[in-house]
Amino acid sequence: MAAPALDLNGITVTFGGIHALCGVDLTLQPGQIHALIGPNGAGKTTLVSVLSGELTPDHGTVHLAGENISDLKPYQRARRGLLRTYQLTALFQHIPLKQNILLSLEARDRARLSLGDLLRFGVAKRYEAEIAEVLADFKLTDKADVVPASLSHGDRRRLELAMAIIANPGVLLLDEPLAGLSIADAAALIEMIQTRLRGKTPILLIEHDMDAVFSLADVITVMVNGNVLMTGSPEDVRNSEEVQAAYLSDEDDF
Amino acid sequence: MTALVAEQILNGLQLGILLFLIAAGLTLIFGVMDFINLSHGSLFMLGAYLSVTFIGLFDNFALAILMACLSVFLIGAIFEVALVRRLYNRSHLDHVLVTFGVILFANEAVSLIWGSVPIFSGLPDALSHQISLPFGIEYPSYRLLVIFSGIVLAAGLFFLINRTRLGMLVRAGASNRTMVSVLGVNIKLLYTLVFGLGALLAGFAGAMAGPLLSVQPGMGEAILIQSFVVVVIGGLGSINGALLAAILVGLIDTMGRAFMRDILGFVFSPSVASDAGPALSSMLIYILMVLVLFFRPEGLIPMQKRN
Amino acid sequence: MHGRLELQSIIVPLLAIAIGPIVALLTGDVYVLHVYERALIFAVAAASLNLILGFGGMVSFGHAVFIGLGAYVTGIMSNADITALWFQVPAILAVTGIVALVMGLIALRTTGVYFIMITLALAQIFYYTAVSTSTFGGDDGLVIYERSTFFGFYDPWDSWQFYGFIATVSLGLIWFITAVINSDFGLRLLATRENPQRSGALGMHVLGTRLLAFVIAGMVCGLAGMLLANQSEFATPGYANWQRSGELLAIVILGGVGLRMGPVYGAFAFILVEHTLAAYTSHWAFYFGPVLVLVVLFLNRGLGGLVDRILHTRSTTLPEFEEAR
Repeated sequence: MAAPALDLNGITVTFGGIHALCGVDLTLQPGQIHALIGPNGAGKTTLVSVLSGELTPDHGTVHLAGENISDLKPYQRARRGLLRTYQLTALFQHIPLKQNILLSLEARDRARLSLGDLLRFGVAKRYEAEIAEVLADFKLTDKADVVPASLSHGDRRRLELAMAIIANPGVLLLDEPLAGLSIADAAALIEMIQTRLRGKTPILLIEHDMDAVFSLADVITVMVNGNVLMTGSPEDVRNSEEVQAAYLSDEDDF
Repeated sequence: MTALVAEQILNGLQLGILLFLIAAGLTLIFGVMDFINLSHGSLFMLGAYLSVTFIGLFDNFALAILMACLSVFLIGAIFEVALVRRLYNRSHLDHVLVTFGVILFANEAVSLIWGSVPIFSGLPDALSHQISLPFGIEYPSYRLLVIFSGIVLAAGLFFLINRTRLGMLVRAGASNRTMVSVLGVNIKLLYTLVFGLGALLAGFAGAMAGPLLSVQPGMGEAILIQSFVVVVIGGLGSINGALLAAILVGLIDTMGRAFMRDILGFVFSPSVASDAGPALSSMLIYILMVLVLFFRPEGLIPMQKRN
Repeated sequence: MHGRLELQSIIVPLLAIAIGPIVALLTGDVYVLHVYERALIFAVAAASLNLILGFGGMVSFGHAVFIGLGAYVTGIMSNADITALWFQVPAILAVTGIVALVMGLIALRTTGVYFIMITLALAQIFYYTAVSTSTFGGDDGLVIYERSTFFGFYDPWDSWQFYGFIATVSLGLIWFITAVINSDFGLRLLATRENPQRSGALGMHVLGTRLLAFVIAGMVCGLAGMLLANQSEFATPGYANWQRSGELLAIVILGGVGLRMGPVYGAFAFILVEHTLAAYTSHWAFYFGPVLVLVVLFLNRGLGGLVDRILHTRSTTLPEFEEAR
């Protein structure tokens, strides 16, 4: 059996004495969409930051496709194919759309910073056809020269996901991709994930929208107060009394 | 030898006090308004020039210092209302450039008004003698006054910050800006007062330092850069850090200038020591800054995190 | 940036090197070439600063240190009879490159106001060293007796030929900086400024990108120092003091920060205004200070922005200035 796409072991994070995560284990199998749910403050986003390397845990290890990446910096993890999106869209706000996409394509090709890059002009040209294709694909062609700062929220989310998809990551961390979207935009985004990513890219999905979670996820892990409450199929999670109890105590989330 | 070292320690303390007065204003203005003020040194210079002028007018040293301080406070407040408050929403680059422009203007304005020749302001007779301290140290009474009055002012500042309502607002503003405006405080007035207070501290430092330095255009710049070093070492926005760092920098700089050549002389030839000594001693505080940054990038006593 | 060079980036530097000789011929005064030589040299220095400031978001308040270093290396070598550019240029690049690397490694650990103050303080170290090193003239500076030579290709003491030398090197360096900005690396530099977190998440090395830009800018500015040393036949600690660094920032702002040709406009405006006012008053900074304040307050994008508005060439894709985080 192949190594898990992502394997977390005993991740522990404390902020000034408070346990944000206490010994979290989580395994993401190749090709699966694995959702992470839980009430606010359960530690979901903290976990994503640990995964992407922006936060160093007190204890625990992270393996990516069998390789221990616990000590690697964010850019090094990205070069090994671990990509994340952000809760608040974090595009290059003042760089035109097509160049945002160019940067993602470079990330896909894992283009390194070399002295040769200094005076290379052909890059944009080399990727020109591909950029046009991506723009058409995601219905953004007429906005090629627009900067993300002046896009609508829905467009920005779509661009964010487009950039993640075209970078062809080994593992994708989606941090609340549907937050703040209209019903129509959310449906379009779910459709995009279903058609382009399902079965190809293993995804760790963090999302508050339970309809989306239950329609997308193969496996669901429920977290409460920095602990894993249970991991199982959507059916198991739906029927678990423990999970219902945990959520009932924090009703705002539904 | 002991007397010499003790005298240099006192000199270092005196420089440290002056640096603290300037750095405190800088760091206060930065902490509360997120504003970087290069022209803070010009306020120091203004304090020195005004005290010289007022001494000539009133023939009363204490009154002249007081008048100089109040004038610089007013000038600072007017400067804040007229120019600085337009910049709070701008980038630090804009702060730097505008205040750099103000320095250019201030230096030339001063030399147009008072001439570009250095002025040596005399000391009042009552303060121009030596005082005998324990351990056989003879020390100029005026320098002692600088140390003493600086300590009094620093204590007053700490009282103001830690014990008064204004101080509470300043501390609140430094840690969370939106909260202060929610409290229903006139934030514009608060900013003007804080800026004026910073100006007053710099003006006082300039007025007191006047008789020790030559009063000339551009005199505020060397001490401004040293104050930056103090602010960085102490931790941006932190008054406690500024105090600790100012004393450290004052002592290290003074001791380095006094003894570095002799210390190097033990190891190297006299010619090398006399060349490298002054260079190395003027670099000491920058080396200290680099070390602090390396081991504690947030400074010795960082300000509490803002939200 | 768009895979093609903007027309302005080609034409403006050519016009910049042509204007001096035209004025000299019209007035019959060869001496004015000196003024335009200085304008070109400061355009190069400001262009190098604009790379890290306008595109990398790094507000360096110590950039003049590289002018000083370049000038001193040139002066020390020339006075030791090593006048060939063949030897001088590599030496300057090595010295400024190493200093920029060390300075960058220290200063780039921080951002924002810390970065400003630390670059300022680090530059002062060089200044104090130069002031107190009596071997190289100390406070009085170093008089340079020989100008740089290039295989006898030109006569450095002939006014026209010397101008040709300054103009050629300046043109090459300004185009080089423009090319770096337009390159793949330039886009990444901009990306690290826009969103360092995301740049890292895409696999870019943020610190490395910034450091490389800082080193390139330092080296190019060092060559500007070489030109200045030749032009003034003098190297002084004053080249590297913090007012000079402030002036370089002012030039970039005056011309328009983050505009490729901003530094050229800024340097010509600055030098010509300085030259004109200096003829009437020694207190020219008395007027320049307030002008700078007004430009910052009211002239968005400086002179370059003004030119773009008049010629309608302003590209919509231009990012606003932002400080690196």
